[in-house]
Amino acid sequence: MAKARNSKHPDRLDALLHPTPRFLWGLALLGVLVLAPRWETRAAVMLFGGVLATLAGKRISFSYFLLLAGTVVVFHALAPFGKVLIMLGNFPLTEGALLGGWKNGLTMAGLVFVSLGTISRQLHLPGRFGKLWALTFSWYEQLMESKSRVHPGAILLSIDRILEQHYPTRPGSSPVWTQEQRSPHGPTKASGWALVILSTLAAVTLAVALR
Amino acid sequence: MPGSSKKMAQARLPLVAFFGALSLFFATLEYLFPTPPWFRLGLANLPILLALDFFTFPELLLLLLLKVIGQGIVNGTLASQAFLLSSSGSLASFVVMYMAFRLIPRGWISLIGLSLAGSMASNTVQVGLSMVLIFGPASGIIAPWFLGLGTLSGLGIGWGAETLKRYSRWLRRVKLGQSS
Repeated sequence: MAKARNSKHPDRLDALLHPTPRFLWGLALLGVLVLAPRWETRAAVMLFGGVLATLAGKRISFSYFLLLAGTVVVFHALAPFGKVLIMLGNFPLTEGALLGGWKNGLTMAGLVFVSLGTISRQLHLPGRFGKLWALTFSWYEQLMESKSRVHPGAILLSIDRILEQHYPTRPGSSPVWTQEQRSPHGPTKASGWALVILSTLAAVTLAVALR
Repeated sequence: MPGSSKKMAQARLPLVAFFGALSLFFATLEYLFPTPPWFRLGLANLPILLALDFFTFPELLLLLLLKVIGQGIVNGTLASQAFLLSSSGSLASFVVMYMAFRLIPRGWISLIGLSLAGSMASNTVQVGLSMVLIFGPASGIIAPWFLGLGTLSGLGIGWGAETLKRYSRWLRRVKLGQSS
């Protein structure tokens, strides 16, 4: 689907936007995507989501999304609905089924694109669960640093050693579980707010104009 | 004493968080194995299987929440249909595995059996939801393939969990530390 960002693909939106308004922006775009009555609006939001995901450093496999959208269209076409466009043997290919499938396929791809572009790993969750999540994420990052030490030939033994390193259980040792002190994220910049407001307004205007 | 049991539960929270991190780590290791683009092995369920023997029901629910929300944030799919499918599948799998673990006498069912039951539950729910929400009823024709692959991956994950449970020195020590 899409691979997580790495040093070669930095998250360019991170410098402009605080994770919380970025998340809320994503929800607003998703609202337009799901509620827009016309497929053209959904296609525009989906493409914009693709741009956002790319800016966020996610490497998107377009072939996967073509396959996803294509499969949705084919399965919808199997349930005839509306005006018959052409007869394929005894099977009627209908306009309603094709359009419904196309709209649904665009929505599914758009949901993933917008989500990839607007959900930041730095997203802060509130309350005690948020603190526990921060601890989990800190350990996950530490485990990921040990990923290269997973040997396919001795996978269980190598994983066992990694676990012992990060959560020591030997007598006299204790797990280091002080929460990682993340440096606070900077506020949303003016250019970030401009991007959020203009893009949301454009998406809403398009949805209303084309309805 | 309620006070001391509360303290013990507080002390176990870091272990719950570590198992959550382990789930996310296994989800990442999944990319080492070649699979069709529409299919996931579900390696992230392996720590959940192992955790059944360690934690209470509320702690297991917390672990499940850390796993599904964590995957949504790390993969960036928190606000998409992928998250809905994944979280519903995980919840169904957890409920079935937990009930089987609690209701079937020890020794009658291995982690392989639990994993298989969980995998079937997860895949059935995901196929049902994708028929309703994404592909339409006609997509039922791919259900046997999806469930067949799910059965194989469930067996594989169960075998991995059973092997780790038998041979992992780390798990044994954690268990000893909890019981002492």
